[in-house]
Amino acid sequence: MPLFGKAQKTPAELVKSLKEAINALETGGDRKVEKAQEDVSKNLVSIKNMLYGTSDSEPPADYVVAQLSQELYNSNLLLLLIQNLHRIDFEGKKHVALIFNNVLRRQIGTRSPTVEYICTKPEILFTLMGGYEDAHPEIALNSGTMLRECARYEALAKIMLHSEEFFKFFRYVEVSTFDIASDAFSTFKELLTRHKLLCAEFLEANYDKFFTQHYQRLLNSDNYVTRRQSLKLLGELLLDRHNFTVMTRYISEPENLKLMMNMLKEKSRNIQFEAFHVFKVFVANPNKPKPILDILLRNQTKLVDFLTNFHTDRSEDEQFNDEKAYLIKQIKELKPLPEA
Amino acid sequence: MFGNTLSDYKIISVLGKQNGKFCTVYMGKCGSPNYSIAIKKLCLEKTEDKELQNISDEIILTRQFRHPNINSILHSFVCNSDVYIITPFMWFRSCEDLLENLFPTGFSEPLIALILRDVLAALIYIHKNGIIHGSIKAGHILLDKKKAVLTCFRESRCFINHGKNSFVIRGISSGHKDIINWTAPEVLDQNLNGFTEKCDLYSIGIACCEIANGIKPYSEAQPTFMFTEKTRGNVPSLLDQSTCFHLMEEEGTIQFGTLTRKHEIYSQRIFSDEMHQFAEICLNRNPLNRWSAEKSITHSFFKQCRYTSISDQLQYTVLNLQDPFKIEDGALENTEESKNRFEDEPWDF
Repeated sequence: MPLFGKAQKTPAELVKSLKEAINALETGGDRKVEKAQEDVSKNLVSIKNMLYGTSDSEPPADYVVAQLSQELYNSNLLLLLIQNLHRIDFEGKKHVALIFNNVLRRQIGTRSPTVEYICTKPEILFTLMGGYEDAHPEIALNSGTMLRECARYEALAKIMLHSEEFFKFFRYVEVSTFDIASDAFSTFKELLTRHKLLCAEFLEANYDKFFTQHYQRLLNSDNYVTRRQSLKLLGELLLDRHNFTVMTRYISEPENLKLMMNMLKEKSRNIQFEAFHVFKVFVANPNKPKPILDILLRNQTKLVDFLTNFHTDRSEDEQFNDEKAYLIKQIKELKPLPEA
Repeated sequence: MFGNTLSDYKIISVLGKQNGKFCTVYMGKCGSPNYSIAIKKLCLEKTEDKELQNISDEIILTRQFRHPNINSILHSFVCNSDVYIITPFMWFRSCEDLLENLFPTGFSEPLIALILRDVLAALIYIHKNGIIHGSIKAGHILLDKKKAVLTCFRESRCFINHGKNSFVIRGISSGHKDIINWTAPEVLDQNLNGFTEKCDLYSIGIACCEIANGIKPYSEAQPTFMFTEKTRGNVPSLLDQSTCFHLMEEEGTIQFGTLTRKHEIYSQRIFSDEMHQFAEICLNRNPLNRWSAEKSITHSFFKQCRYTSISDQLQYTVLNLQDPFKIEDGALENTEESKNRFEDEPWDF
């Protein structure tokens, strides 16, 4: 017990009082809401300080963190906080994210109790993903920081990837506010690239829905940033050896080749350059299916001319020039399949 | 409130260009009460992927701040291949602009105190959020009639990553040539001891000398010289009677032209002992001996802020001017289209 000032609340008391305040925030009238807002902020600061320590206090003791986490699980407060995130004030929203991310990384031996807890309450993840909806743009960035932390855990990434909500990201990454769209894109990318095996399985199982129905739209987006980023991500996905099956399928579809050849001629040089890195996979494929080979043959001379004059100012990029020379050689040597 | 197309904003004039054609800043208006705004246009076609990431990281970080002394981002959107960032318009623009155009020998002491007090208020908030600004300098402090605001969070670093507070940051800073002269020695050391939020206080000390003298710190020095000077604890000083006299004596000769006139002004003015002491504390080689932002703002140097304001201080020199800077008229130029356009025949599918 400190000699001066009020005694610090115990974790249980803090959680209880925060829960009451949140409930009041959700239901109360105008005057009540104001008071509740204050209580929520105050309790969030106390919990945050308990978890992170402050510059002039001792780092938090393990048992306090354990007790606090236990209370958070039992009271279902994490979900409640996230559901009411838009009602919490500006600084409070950041504190929720800090608390969430700290509790998430908690470990006992090799176990991550919070991750296990969230697996039993996937609604937490779905609510967070809904944070990118237009309804409350003020919570998008806070939700994003929490989602990216969750995506670092394979079990949680799996739940998110295999949910219907995941396909809403194709809409989120295209919203008109640049920072929210960028944030959504980094979360999207994290989910698709962090856990290689999981992602490969997901892409194989959902190939049509993912590439044909949705990804195509990003590549044709009106938004320059979306187009550029999604094209770059496509290149990364296809060139990752874990995604070999997906890549093989992608480069055997003539529609995809046509799209990339058109993108090579986009007026943006960055997009031309990214398209080159996808296009090269089609050409380098030793077993080109007939439709692909036909397109390349029909454009054989045009492609050779085009590539010869393509980004000639990148003289310092050795790898690019080697690849370009290789492609030109490959295309020059293309021959029609013998008639069967 | 803020639209997503250019037609929602009225462009009034070009304020300036940075990094060649990559970034242009316009002054504009928007909304029914005709709110003055600054519109920053970044040409993404000229940025590398990494730079694109830095741009969005900076906007996202700045969006997490809400403080009167931090230049807030009101909106950001993409149009064609450019990104537009909307911020409030700051009437006097940056301290660096003001120094260059109107105050070649630096600001008056009360104005310096007012500016630094506002910057410290912003810094207290940023540090509480577990973030280091990393590039405090006159060019990153904007002024309007009421207050100074801190801007540019490109070099910022966070203490809290993945739900863990590290208390110390290690690793290299970008070392960009535009900011390195303001950087604290412990950051330049790049050793395992790392650095803390105290590095911002060192930059404040350098910026204090910068706005007091009207001279960019180490502007003529080689980076290695700058680094060894800082490591030895040699720092720029506030040029007034007490410091400038020695300077002239050392040089022994009298120089002609503007330098002598500047020296004359320096050697005739007096900065208070409090101000000298404040700069000295900030510029301490040992970060542990520097005061925190919270403590610094209580320094007696800031007592003089009580009876004055930025508009009081600037009114005789600047306020009467309708237009403090030569503002170029100019409509929004179209981004020049990439060369390498292929207008040839289409593919044969």
